[in-house]
Amino acid sequence: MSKIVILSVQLGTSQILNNLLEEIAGQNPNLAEWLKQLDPLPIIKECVVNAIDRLGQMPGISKEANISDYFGNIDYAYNSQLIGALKTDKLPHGLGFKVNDQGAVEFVADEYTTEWRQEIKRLRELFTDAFLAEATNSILTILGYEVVVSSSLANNGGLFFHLEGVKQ
Amino acid sequence: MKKITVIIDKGKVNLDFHGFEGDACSAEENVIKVFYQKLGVNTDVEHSDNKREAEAETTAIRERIQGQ
Repeated sequence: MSKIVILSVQLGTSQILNNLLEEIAGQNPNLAEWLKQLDPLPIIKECVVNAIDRLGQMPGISKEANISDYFGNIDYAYNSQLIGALKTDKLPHGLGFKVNDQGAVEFVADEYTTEWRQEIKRLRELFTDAFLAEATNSILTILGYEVVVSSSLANNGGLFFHLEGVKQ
Repeated sequence: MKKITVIIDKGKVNLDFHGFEGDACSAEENVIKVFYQKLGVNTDVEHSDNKREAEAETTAIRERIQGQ
C-alpha cells in the first residue's frame, strides 16, 4: 500500500507551554500542575473519533473502518492502526486517520490520481475544523462550561462551527 | 455568568470572552491555550481585540488561533 502522511498536528513548543504554565501557576498552582501532568493522548484520540463521526454524517461522506490501496486491497495489519476512515465517491479508497505515540494526527491514503489528491485535501481541511471543534468542546467541558456545538455547511462546501460555552 | 463564544472556520479558531472580570479573562485564556497546545493545536494569536475592557467591567478578547 502506498501511503502518504498529509498532516501532522503541530505540537506546541515546550518553551511556549512552559511560559503559559508559569503564568497559570502564579494564580492557580494546582491547576498548572494538573495541566502539566495531563496525558493528552486519550483526549486527542476521542476528538479524532468524534470528528470522524461528525464528518461521516455529512452528505456524500461515509465513515469506514478501513482504507484500501490503488488495487482496492486492504492491508489489515496497517489498517489495524487506524482510528477510522472516511470515503467519498471521489475518494473511494478512503482517507485513514491515526494518532501516533506523540499525539500527532496522521492522515493516510493512496494519492495516485489528481482527483484523489484534491479530495484528500478537501477532507483534510474538513477534518481539521471538525477536530478543532471537538478539541474546543473537550477543553471547555473539562473547564466546567456547558457547551453547545452547532455546525453548518458553507457555500464553498466547507464546514463552519459555532460553539458556545456557559459557566455560572 | 461567563460565556465563551467560539467560531471555527478554515482551520482557525475565533474566541470571544464575555463576562470575565479583571485578570480572569487572560487567566482563562492562558488555560485554554495550554489545553490547545497539549492537544497539538498551534496557538499563535493572529488578532486580539480587548478594547471593550475599557468600556465595561467585563473583558472581551477576540483572537484567532491557527489550527493544526
